[in-house]
Amino acid sequence: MSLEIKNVRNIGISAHIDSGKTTLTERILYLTKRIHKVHEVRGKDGVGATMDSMALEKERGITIASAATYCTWNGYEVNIIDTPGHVDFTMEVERSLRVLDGAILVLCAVGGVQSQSITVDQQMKRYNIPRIAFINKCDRSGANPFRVIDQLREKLGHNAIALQIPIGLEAGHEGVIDLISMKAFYFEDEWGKTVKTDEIPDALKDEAAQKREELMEAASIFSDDLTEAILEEQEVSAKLLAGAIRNGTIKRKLTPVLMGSAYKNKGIQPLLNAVTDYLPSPREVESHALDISQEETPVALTADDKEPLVALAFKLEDTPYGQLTYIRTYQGELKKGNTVYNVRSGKKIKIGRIVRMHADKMEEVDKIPAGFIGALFGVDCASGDTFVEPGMNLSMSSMYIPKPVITLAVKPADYKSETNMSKALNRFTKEDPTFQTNYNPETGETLISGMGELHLEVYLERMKREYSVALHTGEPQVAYREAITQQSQFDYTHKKQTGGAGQFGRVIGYMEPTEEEFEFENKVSGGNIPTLYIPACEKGFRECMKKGPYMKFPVTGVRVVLNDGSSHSVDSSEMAFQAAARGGFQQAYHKAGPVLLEPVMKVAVETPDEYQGNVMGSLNQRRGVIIGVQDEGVSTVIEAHVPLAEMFGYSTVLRSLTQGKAQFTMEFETYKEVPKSVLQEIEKNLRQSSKTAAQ
Amino acid sequence: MLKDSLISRDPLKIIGEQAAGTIENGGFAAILARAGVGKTALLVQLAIYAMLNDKNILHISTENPVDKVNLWHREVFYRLTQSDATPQTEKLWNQLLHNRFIMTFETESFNVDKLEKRISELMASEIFRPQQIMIDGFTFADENDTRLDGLKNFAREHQLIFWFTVRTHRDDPVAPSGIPNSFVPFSGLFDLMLQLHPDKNRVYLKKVPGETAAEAESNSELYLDPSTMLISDAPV
Repeated sequence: MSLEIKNVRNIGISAHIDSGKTTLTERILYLTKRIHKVHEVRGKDGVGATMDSMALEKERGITIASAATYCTWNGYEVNIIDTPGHVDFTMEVERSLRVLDGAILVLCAVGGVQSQSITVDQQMKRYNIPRIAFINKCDRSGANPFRVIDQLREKLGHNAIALQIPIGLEAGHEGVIDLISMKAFYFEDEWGKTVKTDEIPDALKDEAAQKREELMEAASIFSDDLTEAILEEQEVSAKLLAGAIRNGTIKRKLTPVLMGSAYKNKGIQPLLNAVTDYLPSPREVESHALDISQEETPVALTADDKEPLVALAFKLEDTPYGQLTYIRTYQGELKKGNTVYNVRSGKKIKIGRIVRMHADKMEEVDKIPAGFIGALFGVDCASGDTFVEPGMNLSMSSMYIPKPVITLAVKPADYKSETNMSKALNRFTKEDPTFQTNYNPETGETLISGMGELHLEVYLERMKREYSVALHTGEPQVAYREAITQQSQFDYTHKKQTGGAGQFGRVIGYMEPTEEEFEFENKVSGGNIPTLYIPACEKGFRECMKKGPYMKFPVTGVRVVLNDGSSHSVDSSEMAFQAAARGGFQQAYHKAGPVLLEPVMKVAVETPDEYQGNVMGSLNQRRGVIIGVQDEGVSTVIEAHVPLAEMFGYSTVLRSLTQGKAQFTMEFETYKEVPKSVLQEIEKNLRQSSKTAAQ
Repeated sequence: MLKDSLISRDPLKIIGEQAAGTIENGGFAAILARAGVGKTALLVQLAIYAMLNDKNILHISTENPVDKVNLWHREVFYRLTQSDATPQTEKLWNQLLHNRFIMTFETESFNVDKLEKRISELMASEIFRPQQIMIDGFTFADENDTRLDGLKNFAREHQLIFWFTVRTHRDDPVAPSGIPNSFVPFSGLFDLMLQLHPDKNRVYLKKVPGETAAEAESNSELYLDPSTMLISDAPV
């Protein structure tokens, strides 16, 4: 790692599912000589692409975990974080985005900007990540990169500008013309590893000249020298133009667009050059940490080795050799043998082995300098933890963790599976905070919860494959919640006098709806309830939140205010007041207009025009509220809010409705009240399931 | 209650046009203004008031994606209800969603035939039956444009009311009737035209033709608050 920081690029490759992201990564790794053989994602050789390291990913052709890998290109070190393209793994995506300094947005030249690209792009916008776009699949029939550029402008609001034009499209796609150097590039030999530079074909000279004009105009805003050169009609040098483009890209005011076909090995080397030329080094990006001791005020970090260490563990992986923790340093360097401090757990850790990862192969190193990405062995931590030099109290900004919306009961089939399951679950919950587990003592089942059907399915598969767990699974259950809608009073006395010491406690107050999960306020004056027993009261109220008196689902959004009460000098105890609080909660709750809330998902279905009616009908049937229909020329995107409970198995329905031509994405939108008619159905099911549990 | 208090502030009522009163089914109405004065904001307000009056609204945009149009509606709705925010607000909003449908087109692929076909499909499949259609971003350029005649027939046939936003230009001369010259050829088709006028640090709303600027100014209830683009009760 003798490299200078200005020659480092931490990038992500982000895209819609199936737009060829993994194929592109594979080609990049081959051309940078990290791998010596290319495997296709769905290749016949059965090996699968290098970045998809888990067996399951290979089988499904999707990328789940964001393995970090590094390669070198023209003296630059490029770290690639492979981000999953499916919305069900949003947590995973967002965590990867945190550690990126720049990204390649891969788009399909035929499909263009699809609904998933919009979600991913919004996430990148939120983390202020500069992007370059790569329009892939120019060899496919129907490819039109300029339409995709228009979509980038219209749908994503990018100031997108082509740096290249294609030499032929569809089956005739031969190479690209670089508008900066005004040369034609052809890609020859096996896997296109030799770039042949040539003059621009005559037929394309006019178009190239015109597009270069457009490029210069767009770039001139970011460089006074360039503007001057254009005004004085001087020859614009490639260096001057590239400098202006870099400036605009880093400010996130310009999105350079490159094109080609990863599958046909066209346009990859120019893309790599663009990564090193236009995307920022860690030092050019502003990173902030939160000062815990100063009420989380942001503190700017400098990518300097000599500053005190701040590093983020962004990904955990279980390997045959133990837990592997992917880490990025933001400031200072992480050295073998040093002691660091985990801000979340407060534990001190001694750094043992440090490695650099290349998908599933590794290479040992002594340190991770500021701005670099590496991995640690044998460190006990959770993903998202911050490591700092002892004595510091900084944390990388806390990330928003969405609450799980779906739950599934699982039961191991035999004793061996039981131990393996707990091992597996222990690891998954550490790796992915949106995946949670609970034990239900009444039914003896373990409950796993996550962000969607697919999210849970993937973990079930992984348990089966990686831990050989045999499982019985129940039907997926929606994570319902209870809430109250109005203020209501309580005045409850808990009294017991059955020989021995009695129990006495009286609580008076009210409860009301609030935005927070739970709030408790003590307004008791005059010592009517001794201060000593107030925490017991709070505990009693809080306990009731776990299982609502209405339908036994967790309660959310309750504020309890305790006004008054009374106690007995002998018979009052913590236990008595806890019981009184529980009684008070029950008493007030039923008068507070309790309702049942269900998770509602934002669903976007992308379908060819002719199936629009069918799809809308299917969403309507599922209690969906159709928000709108977006006409996108060849296809239509239907956006709707649909209760999660109605979305189970929708992918199968959608496939048969549209002959497999439509696809949909789904993300959590909000919790909404369950309509009366549906409520009766849920009550009925609950009664039945409690009966069967009792039997 | 919330609904009633909101309805009482309906800008159309304030200027003496009942929401469904003077414009009959099959009628056209327009909001004229220069770029950036607040056409969309007013259109969305009118849509929300119509929804509060239990009308089904189809909002068509050729400029913004569905998400953004939805955001417009939500923002305007919450600004409207802010003065009397209650837990009922969210409930009312969820109810209103059933009265609304958004349809967006790419500017280049937008055409009236396609639009009519889409609306007919929606109605035939009973998914949504609009009563009022708000079109944001329709271009009024060609005097011999027959598209509007087609829409007019469509509106009459299906008993629909159409609202349009019309972008006018600063240097566009104004006819004696108060209508910008460029819009005069189309004005015959319209039953109601509202014009937004920026004036120093306020925006006021006037009916064209008919009301003069002086008249409009004397009516203190017709100002738009330029910071929120909502009808404000008192002049700024």
